[in-house]
Amino acid sequence: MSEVADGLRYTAEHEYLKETDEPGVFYVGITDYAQGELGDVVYVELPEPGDTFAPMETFGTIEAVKAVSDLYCPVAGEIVAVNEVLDEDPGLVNSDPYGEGWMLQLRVDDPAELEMLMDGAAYGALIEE
Amino acid sequence: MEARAGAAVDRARERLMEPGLSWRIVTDGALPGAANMARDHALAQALRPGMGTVRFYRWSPATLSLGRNEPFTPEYRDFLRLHPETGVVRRPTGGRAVIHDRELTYAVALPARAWGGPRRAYRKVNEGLVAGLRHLGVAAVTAAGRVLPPEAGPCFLEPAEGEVVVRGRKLVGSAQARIGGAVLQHGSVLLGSDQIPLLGGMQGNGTTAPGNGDRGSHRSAAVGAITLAEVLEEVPAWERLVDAFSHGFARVLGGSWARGALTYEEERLATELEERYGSALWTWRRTRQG
Repeated sequence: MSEVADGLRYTAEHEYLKETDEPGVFYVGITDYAQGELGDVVYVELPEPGDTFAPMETFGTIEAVKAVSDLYCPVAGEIVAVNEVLDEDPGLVNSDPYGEGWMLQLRVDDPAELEMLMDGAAYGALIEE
Repeated sequence: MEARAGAAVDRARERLMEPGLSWRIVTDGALPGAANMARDHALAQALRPGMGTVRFYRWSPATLSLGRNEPFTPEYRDFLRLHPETGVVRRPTGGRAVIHDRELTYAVALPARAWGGPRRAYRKVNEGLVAGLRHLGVAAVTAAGRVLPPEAGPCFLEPAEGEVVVRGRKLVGSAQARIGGAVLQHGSVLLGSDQIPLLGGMQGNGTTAPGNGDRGSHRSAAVGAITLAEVLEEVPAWERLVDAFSHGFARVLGGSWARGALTYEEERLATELEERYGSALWTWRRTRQG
């Protein structure tokens, strides 16, 4: 059974946004369900801090047991930081997707856009389908 | 009794989940690396709902392909210096380096949600390959294997989980990418390809070039790979191989099957993508210095 964390926003591409301590800046990562579907993550390719992305623009790739998938920026924003630890330990995406396995810190252009994303209940229903 | 009933329910559920796709089999000739990768990518990108495509092809010239995220290492560079006739291309899919020469290459493009997701699709496609090989009289199975990162060295060094092996050695190396709403899986069935220059320390001596001699395959065996030339007395003709794998895929993947060609839209897309797969920016995107 996949964990769906409370208080986060979710996309249909199985990514989440989670508040950081800094207003307007959110952690972005993939959900517990997504990591389970992918299997053991062996590589994560991430952008540079300062890069900006439009909604649904590809910001990187994730590779798991030879399968590569694109990663999509859920909402428009600027990269504040990337999780460089994933370079050495990409398995954190599997073991702690909502914690140490975060990928980006994204300064969201328009926080109102988050309202368009799913809450935990809606996302839970999606993965139950 | 309860366990048997549970298994029956699981099988019924699995049948219900099978999408019954309309499949097309495309057979191409031998093409350069960038054209082959562009055509595979185009098949996935232009995939229509309810459809699936299987493509069989070869390579000319012999080509070293790198995984999407695999570092181009000094060893690969040295190999290409020793074998300047060999092409090089970076794949859209994950995994590790392969020398494509005497092999049958397959590509399967199918909806990402088919069979419940890419991992299950990977298993199904590999089961299709096993069925095709058994049709040829080859006792192939899927491997237990372990998880291998892109830095783990060439593809045929050892099997990863779910890959097709014969006598415990790897006969087919496969990799996957999710492209939009589709999954692309492609891979190499070794007919007699010599993976030794990649597997055996890469130092090379000019006698292990791709396509050199027909006993190179036996040397591959020593380091974990196996070829059809070793397993069968005679490697079947290309058409027979295509028929056998088509039969295997049809049996395992179900749905309806017909032979066909790329559509105008796929050809146009492939021509566009060929520029990307032929570009230095793409090919050398991850390079490890010596």
